[in-house]
Amino acid sequence: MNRRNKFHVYLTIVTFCTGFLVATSIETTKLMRKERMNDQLFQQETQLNERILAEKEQNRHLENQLLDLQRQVGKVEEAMATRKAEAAEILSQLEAARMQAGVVAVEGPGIVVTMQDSQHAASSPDITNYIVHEHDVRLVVNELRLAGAEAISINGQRLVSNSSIRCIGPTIIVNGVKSAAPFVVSAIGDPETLEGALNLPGGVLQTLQDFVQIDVAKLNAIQLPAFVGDAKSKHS
Amino acid sequence: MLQKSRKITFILAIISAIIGVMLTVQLRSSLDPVHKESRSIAELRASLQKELEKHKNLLADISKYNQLYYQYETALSEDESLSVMKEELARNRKMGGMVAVEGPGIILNIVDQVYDEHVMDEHVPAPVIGGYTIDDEDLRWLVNILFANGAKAVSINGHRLIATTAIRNVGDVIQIDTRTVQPPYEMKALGEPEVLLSALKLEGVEEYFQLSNKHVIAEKQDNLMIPANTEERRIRFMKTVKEKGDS
Repeated sequence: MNRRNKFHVYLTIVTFCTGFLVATSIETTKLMRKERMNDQLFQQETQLNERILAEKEQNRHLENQLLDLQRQVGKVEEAMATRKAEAAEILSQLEAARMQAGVVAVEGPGIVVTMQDSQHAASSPDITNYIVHEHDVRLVVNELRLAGAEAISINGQRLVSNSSIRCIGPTIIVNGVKSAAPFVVSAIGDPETLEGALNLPGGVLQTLQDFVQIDVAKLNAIQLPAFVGDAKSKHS
Repeated sequence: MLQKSRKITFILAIISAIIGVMLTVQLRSSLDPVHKESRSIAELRASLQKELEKHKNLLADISKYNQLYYQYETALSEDESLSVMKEELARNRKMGGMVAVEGPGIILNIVDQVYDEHVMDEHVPAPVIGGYTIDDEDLRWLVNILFANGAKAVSINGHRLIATTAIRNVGDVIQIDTRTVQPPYEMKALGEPEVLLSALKLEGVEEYFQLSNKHVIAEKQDNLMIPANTEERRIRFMKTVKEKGDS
């Protein structure tokens, strides 16, 4: 009886161990597979990162190249203008048209409006009241246009004649390019007028101030980038 | 007796094996949480795509300016280079919305909903009591939807919208730039008609304007003419950046 009892104990231990072993080996193979997958993912990620960096570097070169070209073209045009009065006339029109179309970078006095979700957003029961919506951005842009802004950009995207402002989740999409908060609206124009328009009693700033964090800064010189990608026959 | 104890042994063996397996699995899975890496990969892909898109656009721009430069350089006479310059001017004016454009597109008419007492049509919803009138943000919203879905040019009641166009309530009326527009509003949009129409459906434009008892009639047009923006704009503050800036 005693012996048989002992036998039971041994058997239990042995089978227990067997079970453990089986499970461990199964898990280990699984884990190895997962690790290999993680490894692959990691590799993929690094590859992607490298490609993005390379692409960015290349884009910077291209941007410089484009600016150089624009300068070269500008020189040729100016040379023509000095030779012929008619050319000078056309050139001044051309420069104005380019600026208004938004295909060249421009600089001048203006204001920068920075909009951000309110810090109360997280603690408030009604969060949607305290985050920046696309119509808030549109409202500010519209007000700036009304006040005579000559050129406007949002988060580095120049607004052109067929730009749209869309929000998807916490990001804003302008000219098809996505960017995250804070939303920075820069406008060139008379700084006093622009600021005054936003500051009107019952105006945009007063309405929005209670809900979102909004800062206005007047600057003597700001630069707005050119709209890139006009060559793909955007207009028929 | 012997038979019974064998049975017990057997059962015991199976049970302990199961316990062993379960224990291990439990341990393993709690020690090793599942990694979430696919998300960051998707994000990286998106930003890569963005850069590639920019690359393409830059290349297109560069080739355009190269061509222009080449045209200037190869112009045989002053007159020829002058005409190149004029061409470039026309192209830029077109881009800025200073020239009328035409092509396929859609016409949107926002009209008052007509209610006929005698015809009980279930498709015509009941009038909304106390509905509000259309304000500037409604129009801005609609215009934004059109542009976001590839509209190349939009006009409201014959007034072409450009980069600096403001749409604003002034008193009871809506003003576009310096011109007042009165209902009914007629919007023209140049772009893929199918895309624009389905976008309007998707965004619920019809239902939205229903709230103010308005009916939106959208029509496909094979050849639509959108007028030029005629507003005189003087440039007082901005000037072209000649030197490369920091940005």
